[in-house]
Amino acid sequence: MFEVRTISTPIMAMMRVDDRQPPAVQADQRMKLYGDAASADTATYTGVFSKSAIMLVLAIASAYAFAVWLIQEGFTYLSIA
Amino acid sequence: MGAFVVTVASIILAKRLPLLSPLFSVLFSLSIGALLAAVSLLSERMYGNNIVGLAVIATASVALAILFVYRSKTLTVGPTYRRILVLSLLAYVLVLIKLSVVRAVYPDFFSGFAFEAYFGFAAIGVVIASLFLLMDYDDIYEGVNQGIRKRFEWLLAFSLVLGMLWLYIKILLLLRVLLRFG
Repeated sequence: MFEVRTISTPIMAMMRVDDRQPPAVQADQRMKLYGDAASADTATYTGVFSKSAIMLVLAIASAYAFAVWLIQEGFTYLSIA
Repeated sequence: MGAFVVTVASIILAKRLPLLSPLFSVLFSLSIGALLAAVSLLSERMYGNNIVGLAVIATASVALAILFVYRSKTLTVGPTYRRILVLSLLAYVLVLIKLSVVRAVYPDFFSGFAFEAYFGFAAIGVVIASLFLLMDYDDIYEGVNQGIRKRFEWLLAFSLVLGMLWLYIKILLLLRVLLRFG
């Protein structure tokens, strides 16, 4: 069964359909992950990669702003940042 | 320190509350940006040689290479792959912690083989981060093909970006070792 990992860090939590659970619980988990069979509300590559791009742009903008601030402050605050 | 706390909290909360993952994704991006700025600026100041630019190019190249590996099915991601990778990561972290303690107690512990030790651990870190990226690609591929709900797009994007930025940090550390001892 496909597992959606929510993070890829050492914490490594998983959100998945647990096939050790009773069928009713599995069905509920499956519904949460995939919706019903007729659902058109599904993820797309475009959706995932556009959101990744948004996150990267935000991270770069934040890094740039913070770097400019650090340079202006002469690295004084780096130890507590 | 504040940025680090916000970053870790965002990672945990995005997992615990998937419906709020867009909010935590934005928070995560902003906080990890600050962390990256601090690490990158310090590296550039200490080692120069446009180390940050090199690390960015290397990260993009490795990410593309891993994508090619995934698409060509050279390596396939299955439950065993995932299990081995997670165990490798845990072992890596534990060994690093242990060696950090040893180095704190015996500062000259690595004196005879400093380059080999630092380079080895930095290189292993890059390999593990790259293999995790392969898992991120597989999650996206499987999720989209199996029709996972749209609300999980943020979670998949979160995982991918985290994997890439982690790879960037690891490559930066590897370059630092190379410039320090090279």
